[in-house]
Amino acid sequence: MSRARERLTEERKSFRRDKPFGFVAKPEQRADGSTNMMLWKCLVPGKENTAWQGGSYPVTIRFTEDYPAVPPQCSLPPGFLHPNVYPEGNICLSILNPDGWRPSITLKQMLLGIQELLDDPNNGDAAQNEAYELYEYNKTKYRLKVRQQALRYPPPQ
Amino acid sequence: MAEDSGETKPKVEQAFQIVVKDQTGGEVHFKVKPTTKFGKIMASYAANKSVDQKSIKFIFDGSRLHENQTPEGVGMESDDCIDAMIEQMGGGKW
Repeated sequence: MSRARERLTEERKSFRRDKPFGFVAKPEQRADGSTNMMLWKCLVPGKENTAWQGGSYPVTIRFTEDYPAVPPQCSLPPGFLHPNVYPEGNICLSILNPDGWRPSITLKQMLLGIQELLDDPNNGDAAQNEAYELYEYNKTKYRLKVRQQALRYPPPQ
Repeated sequence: MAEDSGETKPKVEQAFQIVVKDQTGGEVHFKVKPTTKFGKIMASYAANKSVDQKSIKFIFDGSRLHENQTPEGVGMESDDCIDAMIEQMGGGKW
């Protein structure tokens, strides 16, 4: 087993035993029943008492064989409204950038980091125009749109 | 004591621990058999929390657990975590 796969097996194990409430993280199950350890399907809940509350946001994490030396790529669905999410869905977060990444960062830390980012964007380094403009010039409308988006991603039923 | 003493140990069904977490950070640990139905665990959880069992749903790995499923049946391992969510009703139930 490659170093990347060994580490991911460990990550899966520790996440199962120490899972924060509302989060899901599991390797993709292929149609033939086999497991793709390099592609993870996750759910990140919006924090309570924020506009993101009630949403359970689907995050896809793509690992390469160079992990954990290099960070994985984390994405939300295309068109997701957030200043630090590119139009095609890639999440721009310091700890996931090659400069800020450390191999010791766990899957749990990544997902908690993404949860934190939702309600605490860095609009000074925006990755999409729509969220940037709303956040900058019309916070009321931004909040309303975030609430509407939360409703589109209900938690597992 | 020699390992091959020929004694047969009584076959014990392996004990399983599962952890049920709620929104407020509370945890309840259950020692169960891999074949215990979730219905029983939910009833005991609801009693522990003094709430109606119907108002709670168990989510494991992003899927809802049903009363007649078992830890073994859904591929659970010992020490796995379940989320206990408050059942919400968004209207339109008719």
